[in-house]
Amino acid sequence: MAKSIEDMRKSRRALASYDYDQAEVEKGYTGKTLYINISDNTIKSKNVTEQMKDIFIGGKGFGLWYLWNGVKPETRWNDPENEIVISSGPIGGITQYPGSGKSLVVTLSPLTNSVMDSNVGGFFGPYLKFSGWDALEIQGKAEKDIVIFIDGDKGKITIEEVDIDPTASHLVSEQLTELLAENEKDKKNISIVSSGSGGENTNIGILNFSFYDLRRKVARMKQAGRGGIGTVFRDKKIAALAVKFSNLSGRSNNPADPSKIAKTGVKITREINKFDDEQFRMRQIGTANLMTPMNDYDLLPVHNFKYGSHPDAAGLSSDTLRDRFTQNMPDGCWVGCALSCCKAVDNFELKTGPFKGEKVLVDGPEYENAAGLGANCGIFDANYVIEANFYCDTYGIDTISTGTIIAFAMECYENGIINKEITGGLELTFGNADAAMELIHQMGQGKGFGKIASQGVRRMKKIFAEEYDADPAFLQDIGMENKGLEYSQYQAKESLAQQGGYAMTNKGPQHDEAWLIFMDMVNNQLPTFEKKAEALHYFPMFRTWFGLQGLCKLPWNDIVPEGNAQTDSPEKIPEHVQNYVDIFNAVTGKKIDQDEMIRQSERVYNFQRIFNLRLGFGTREHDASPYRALGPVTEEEYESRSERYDKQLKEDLGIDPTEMSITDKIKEMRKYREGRYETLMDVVYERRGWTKNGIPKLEKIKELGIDFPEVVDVVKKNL
Amino acid sequence: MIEVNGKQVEWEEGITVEKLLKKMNYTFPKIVVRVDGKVIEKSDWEEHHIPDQSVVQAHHLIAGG
Amino acid sequence: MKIVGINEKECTMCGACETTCSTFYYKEDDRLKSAIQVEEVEASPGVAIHVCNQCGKCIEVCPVEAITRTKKGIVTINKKTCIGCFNCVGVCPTDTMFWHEELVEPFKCISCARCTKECPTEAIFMEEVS
Repeated sequence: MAKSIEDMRKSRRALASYDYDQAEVEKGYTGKTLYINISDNTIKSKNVTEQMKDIFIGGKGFGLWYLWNGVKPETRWNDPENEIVISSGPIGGITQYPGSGKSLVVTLSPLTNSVMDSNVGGFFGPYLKFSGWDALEIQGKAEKDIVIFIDGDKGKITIEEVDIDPTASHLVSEQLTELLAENEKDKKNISIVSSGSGGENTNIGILNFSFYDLRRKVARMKQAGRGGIGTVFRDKKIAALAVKFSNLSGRSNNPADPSKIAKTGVKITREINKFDDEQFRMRQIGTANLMTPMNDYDLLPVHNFKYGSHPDAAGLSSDTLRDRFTQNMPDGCWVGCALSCCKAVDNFELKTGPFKGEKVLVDGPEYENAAGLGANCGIFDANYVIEANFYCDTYGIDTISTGTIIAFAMECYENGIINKEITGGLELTFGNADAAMELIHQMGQGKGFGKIASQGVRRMKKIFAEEYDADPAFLQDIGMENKGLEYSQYQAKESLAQQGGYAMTNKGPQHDEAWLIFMDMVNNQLPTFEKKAEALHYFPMFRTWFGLQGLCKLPWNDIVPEGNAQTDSPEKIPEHVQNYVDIFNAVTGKKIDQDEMIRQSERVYNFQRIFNLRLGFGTREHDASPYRALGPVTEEEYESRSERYDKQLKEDLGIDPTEMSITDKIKEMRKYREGRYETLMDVVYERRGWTKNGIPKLEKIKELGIDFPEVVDVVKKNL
Repeated sequence: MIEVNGKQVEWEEGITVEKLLKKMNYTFPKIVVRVDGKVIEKSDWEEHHIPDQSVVQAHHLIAGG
Repeated sequence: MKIVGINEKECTMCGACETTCSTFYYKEDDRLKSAIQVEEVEASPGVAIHVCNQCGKCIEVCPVEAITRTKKGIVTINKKTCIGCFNCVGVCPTDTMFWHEELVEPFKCISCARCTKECPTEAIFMEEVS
């Protein structure tokens, strides 16, 4: 599989090249973006307008704006005019504040057929900017596999055919890094974006963004995981993107006030050093620190989101995973991140698949991987999760969707909806690690039942109903997708606010917009519909902001400053919110406050909502939730927590359950919960300035200043 | 009765913050406890008795995804 | 290895050490650019002298491996490799990895002993530690 680097070097053939003078970064922007059309090999520079900076800020905002202009309402994900836009954002690339090296990727998704965005670490976004480009916009489709090289040192871009096998992402990263580096030290100056065979064979392809780990001497990878962006990438016949930039310094982003950034950065770095070990242990376990508390509070998805905990959960506990991670390494996915959460398992010997017997580095498992691939499929085996994690990454398939897909297939199997004949012999019962591993290989390689599973839950439901006579209503209840995207891994049944945080989202049920489970369910800080709606306004807007700037969400609330409990709104972490305002101002020289911060997000958030609308989505019906996310679908589910549910019938619904049949109890519970979800939609839409059908009102878009004629047209057509 | 995170909970003779958290199954390591508005330090949980009719907040400081 | 030893009781806060350090390394008399910094504090004896004890905690957090220990045991920053993220500043248990708003890279004591020679009271001196 591995090709010799020399052969690869000899095979390079430029289809197009473009020399440019690297624009200086000024206050977080270069003012230029790079447009590449791989159908006709056009390469050109575009100017960033002041209006783009004011309204769309950067990152996901720039991506959405370019995509809007690049596609038509009828464009679908595999049309040549679909684009992949990668942009960091004005703050992206500073090294003094943790979590400041993210890239945002935007495209039309094969899963949702609508707009997708994904936030990813690795060095690509910052190096792209320091090479002169605030964003990279790729349109068109190549005839044969190509690699796009951006040499920020020399100011040269080439589109090339290279003899490289694009099927295993970790090798693509490794080999291209080797190809471009002049020596070992030079490797840290390179970042590769690639997908893998999963990008060719599934709808859930991801993009891996590499970052070179100097100590381990390996190109590690972070994932733009959600929504099949890697599928678009491979459909365009892109094997990889490569950027090289060698002069990184703490001043590369050329901020207006570097001293303010350093002061703020040192302050939070000290907090991390002082409190992380007693708070969330991000530096020891990363996001997998959530495994134990989620299980303890009945929030860990188990058996396709039926339950929230499992007696065997210790097999994947936070501490079990901690013991597998190499400790005391600066595991930042961007230079200088003191939160250092991207943990890795070193020297892991693979037991299956094309790399069987090899010892590899596995990035993760993070919480989502352990919860989704493990708990949700009833597999509480760390070795399985680590191996599955490795193969998902190198095939280039989304661990979150994969977990939810396999869990769904297992429940269908256990209900007799599918059987061994359909699965090609795979016994997909909950807990069967061997069958699950085989299914991952099939998905990644485009074989057997994997060809069905890799289409995603929404299409699986259709196939099972149409071809195997399954009850579509039952599939709708248990198939954990909304808008076509698979749910991420939290049990939301007992948190109405989180149900909204999942399904009333722009791109689909990913928890990056709002994570309100504890605030709502445990702390009971959102007892009224109005309070839930306020949270479902504030948090999605606040968290959208990270994606405009090139920032990571984690250092916001995965480290908590001293005295936070005494503030008016501890859940907002007011001191850290102010840090972000200070840093934005220190980078750009602008003078925003916390209110303007939310306005910046509101503009982009509403624009994205209207973009959905323009593509034929973005209305109330698309915010509906599968019932599995709202309440107990089956008798066994009800019975497993009957004390809780009976109590709710009595106290919340005023119904005496003692003489009721279980069917009636489920029915009454469902009517109540679905009713509350509908009410929540009304109240949230009102708070967001939308109509009852979930469409931003004209006065809202005017007030936000996004009332471009085309935008107004789309809204008017749908009112 | 006492109120814990907005919900009515049976009061018991001699209940301390520590015992209440146990009773509620609140095992998370970072919880800020207020009894009638006053923050009770973790070091005092074992000793601090909760009077009947108290309003208790046990805010879990968890960041989540 | 030899580090700068301190005896705060003897310190008169004359500032000679700070002047010596910043003048030698940064060609200006600015105590905030000195790798040894003296501060008045409330706790007895009223003076705190901040200077690196060469513990090396900063080495393991440096993302670009710019911080290393010399054969003599002294922790040094390679300014050509350093990108100025200040992780080392935040992690330093003795607050003796310094930064200055005019400088991209942080700076620290490398046990050159120049300051100890200028100290009039022997509040600082070179000492051998293991």
